[in-house]
Amino acid sequence: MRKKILIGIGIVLIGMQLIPTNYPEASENNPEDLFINNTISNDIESLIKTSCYDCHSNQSKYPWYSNIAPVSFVISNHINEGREHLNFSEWETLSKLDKAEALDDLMEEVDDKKMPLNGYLMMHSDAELTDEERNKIMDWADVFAESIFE
Amino acid sequence: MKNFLIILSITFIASISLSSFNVVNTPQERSDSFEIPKNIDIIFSSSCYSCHSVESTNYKAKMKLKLDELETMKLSKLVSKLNKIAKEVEKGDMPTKKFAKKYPDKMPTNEDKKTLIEWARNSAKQLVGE
Repeated sequence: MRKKILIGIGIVLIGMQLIPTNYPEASENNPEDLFINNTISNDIESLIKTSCYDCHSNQSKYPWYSNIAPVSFVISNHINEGREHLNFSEWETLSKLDKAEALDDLMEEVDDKKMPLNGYLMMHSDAELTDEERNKIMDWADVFAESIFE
Repeated sequence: MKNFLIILSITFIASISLSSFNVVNTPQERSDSFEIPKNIDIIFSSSCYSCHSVESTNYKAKMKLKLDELETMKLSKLVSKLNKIAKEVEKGDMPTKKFAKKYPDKMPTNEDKKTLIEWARNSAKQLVGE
């Protein structure tokens, strides 16, 4: 009985690998990127690129296990959704109002520790943000948002 | 001469304390004259302030938006919050279902919602000149 269950699970897992995953494309060439078009300190750039860019930009780095179902479904879903909410690679295509709103959302999510996602942090410990780093990002976002309307 | 020096120093101290007093009183400098109109304030009072104000005990709601701070917010904050008000009310997410169940008589009418959404959107656009 036990053997049959294990074989069954094995078949399902192997079968899953045949389902194509809808991977969001990764691209290094992003002329509308936030950091290309704005003067932002290296500190902030490195924090945001390390902690946010896998899902909130076109520069997603796919780990080796991202090809294995069902993990692949979760990852592609996170990236698709992340980019939909905010894509730093397309920053300059946003209106001023949308930029301000995105930064306001960013401050809320970072303050609330909703971002980066826990599941993501489990596999990317370097993306973890200390309280001090969170404050740094929020302070920057606050000033940067205001500069949009100057 | 001594009196003169005393008067001078008093003027000096007074001017310093007055100028710092001014700084305390105007936390943000916004050149526009944004004010919540009466008809909107009535809707806020009935349906929103109980959670979205400084005195609210609803921590989550308060963290996202304190309506009584709108008039003194920085421009970028103000327009973001106005846009979000329009979106949340339009989607039907605000007021929450819980609020609607608990205080059905305090819910805004569809007409109120429309007025609120239009006001919030137009004010945001006007403030940034878009």
